[in-house]
Amino acid sequence: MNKDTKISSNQIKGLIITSVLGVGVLSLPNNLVIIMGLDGWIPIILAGILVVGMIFIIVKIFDYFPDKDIFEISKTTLGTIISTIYQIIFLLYTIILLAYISRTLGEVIRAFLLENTPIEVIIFAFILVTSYISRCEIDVIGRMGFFIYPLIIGFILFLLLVTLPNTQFENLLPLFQSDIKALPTGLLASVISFGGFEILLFAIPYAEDRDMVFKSSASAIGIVLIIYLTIFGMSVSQFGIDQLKRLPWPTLSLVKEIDLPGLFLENLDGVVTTIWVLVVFGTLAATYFSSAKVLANLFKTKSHELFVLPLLPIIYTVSLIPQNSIELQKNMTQVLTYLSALTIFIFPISILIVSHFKSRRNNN
Amino acid sequence: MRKIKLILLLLLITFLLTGCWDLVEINQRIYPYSFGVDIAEDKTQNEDLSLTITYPNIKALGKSPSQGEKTYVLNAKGSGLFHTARKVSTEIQGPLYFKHLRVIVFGEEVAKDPKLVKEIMDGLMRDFIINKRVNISIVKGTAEELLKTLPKNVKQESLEGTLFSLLLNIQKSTYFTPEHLSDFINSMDKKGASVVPLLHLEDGDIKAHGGGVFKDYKLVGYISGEENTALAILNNQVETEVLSAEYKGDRISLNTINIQSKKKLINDEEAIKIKYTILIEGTIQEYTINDQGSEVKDMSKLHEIENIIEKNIKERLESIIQVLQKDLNADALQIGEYLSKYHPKLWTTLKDDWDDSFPDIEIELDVAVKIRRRGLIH
Repeated sequence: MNKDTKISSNQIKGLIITSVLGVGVLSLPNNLVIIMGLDGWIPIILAGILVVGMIFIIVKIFDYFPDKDIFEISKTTLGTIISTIYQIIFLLYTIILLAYISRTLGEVIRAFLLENTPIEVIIFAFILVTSYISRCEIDVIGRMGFFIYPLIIGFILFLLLVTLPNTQFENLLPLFQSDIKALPTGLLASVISFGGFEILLFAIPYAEDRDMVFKSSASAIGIVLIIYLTIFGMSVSQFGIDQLKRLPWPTLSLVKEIDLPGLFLENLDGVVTTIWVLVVFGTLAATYFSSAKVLANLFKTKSHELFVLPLLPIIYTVSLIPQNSIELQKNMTQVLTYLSALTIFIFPISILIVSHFKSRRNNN
Repeated sequence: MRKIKLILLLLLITFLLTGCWDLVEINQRIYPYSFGVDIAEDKTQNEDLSLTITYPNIKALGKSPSQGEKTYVLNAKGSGLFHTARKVSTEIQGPLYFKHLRVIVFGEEVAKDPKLVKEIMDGLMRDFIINKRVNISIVKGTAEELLKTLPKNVKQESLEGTLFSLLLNIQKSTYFTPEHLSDFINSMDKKGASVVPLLHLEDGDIKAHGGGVFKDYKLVGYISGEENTALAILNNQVETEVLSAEYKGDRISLNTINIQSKKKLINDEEAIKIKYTILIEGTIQEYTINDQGSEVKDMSKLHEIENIIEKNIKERLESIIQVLQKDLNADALQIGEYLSKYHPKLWTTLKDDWDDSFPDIEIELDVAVKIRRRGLIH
């Protein structure tokens, strides 16, 4: 553990916002409307609360072992074998997530910005750029997040402002009409879009002020929650439920609806996609970093830099496995759902339970 | 050796600097701003659509225009909208780029074929580039004929084209109501009807007056400009309008400053009854001058005038409701949408046979005209 690396609570906030916001922001309103209808905002709020609970658990784990990093903690609590299995699952999850994100990014960029560029080139170039920042320590990624997140918030506010003339808030009605049985599925879909906060597992050991970690990361999740709710509300009030069910990327379709008088603001999709690339860059950098960290721990090397470039061809190959956009959205998301449930929920909870009993035994 | 390596590296880098060798400059692209869609004459399996594309001659517009035609018109026949658009490429010098497509004009024959309309709408929505706020309009006859008169049209001055500036409706005309692609599809989803502006060709001039009523992606009928005004009042889309009525043999006209329309469901037990509350505020614009006794001086006379205008408007509104309910059976009043939002339980029972229930809905009108000012003279 490098003692020079320090990350401030503001940087943790930025880090979490940038790594949580990503691909999900594009398709979340569509997914939720298909599952829950107009009540899609309920699972968003519930998922936000659940994720804040998970953050509390993660912070608690590090309270039990103040001087250790997550790998040492899992080894002492769960034992070497289970800990290694978890790490391999974690590695798989991050690699598939990276592949999924970069492929979706490639598809979106190809559709809205670079029509003639082969998707392979876009994906490869983007992973290559991210690999540069992933070679750094967590504090650098934290600083990057701190720079990007005001941009994201400004961008959402801008989007809100320019789409406002065409919105019909009536479209949000009727409320509370959906089937309560659909709630678990909806909850799962929205929890997945909060994935990315697990970067905390790597960030907390380097935090400057441990007491502030929970507060700043919970407020980060709060900001993400508000952004998701805003985008959901905007999409529904713009398109109405029937159209929204048809649009796979409502957030980008929103931009195509902008038509302010005077012709000075229209066809903003190019600009918006460019800003969105920054958002994805944050997510990708954090995930890439954590997968390299896990590899470094598995092979017991001091630095994770060694594994960043060898990971590149793997991510690239996996990202090209889906043959079409349906395979990408259906199959890959399904795999990711199960893996993320294991890694970002069950893994920390099991550590907490074991360490809780262990500390009780020690006290006796 | 090191020097040679360095020079080699520099030489290799120059290959990266050739990024834009195959670019197409913006002035080489062709930006169509309107599409006209017709059924092809003597149609065959492979050529059932006739597409007319207009695009501006950018050099002939703007501050120092060169002589020449301001709008170019192209025509091609093919199957499917985008396939036909590709066929046009044999007569043009640059690539077509649909980012600034603003108006779609449907010929009457196409509009009567729901399958074709659905196909075209799907293509437009699916496209990555086309803006989803394209104006939809319809013409009696063929779109080709309409668009071909565009170059002769003397009124074209703006870059975005006659049709689009007309349909942008800064003039706030109520004789037609602009309809955008996404709104059109929204109305179809809610089992409603959509009224799209009806374009006319008169002595080489183009005007928009009235509307074509679409129901379930099919043209079911037309309404006149006056009927469109009444419909727009009911749908709360009117900002200013001049309404006139006859009062004791003289014409009196009212310049409205505010028109509000609200609909509400009352007693949903047996028959469905919708109550419209319409408030019209305005100023007297015209009356008879210089005639003793024709001044508007006391309250009772003002109320009389108000009542007469009220009655007049009510008749107009009733007649359009009659047309929509009985003749066309098309829910252009968006009552279905209103019920689905505010009375979802009732809507679930009605949704499946809305076509049968809509004509039987009772509609009650409560029109209130308030004259706030009399103008500069009594």
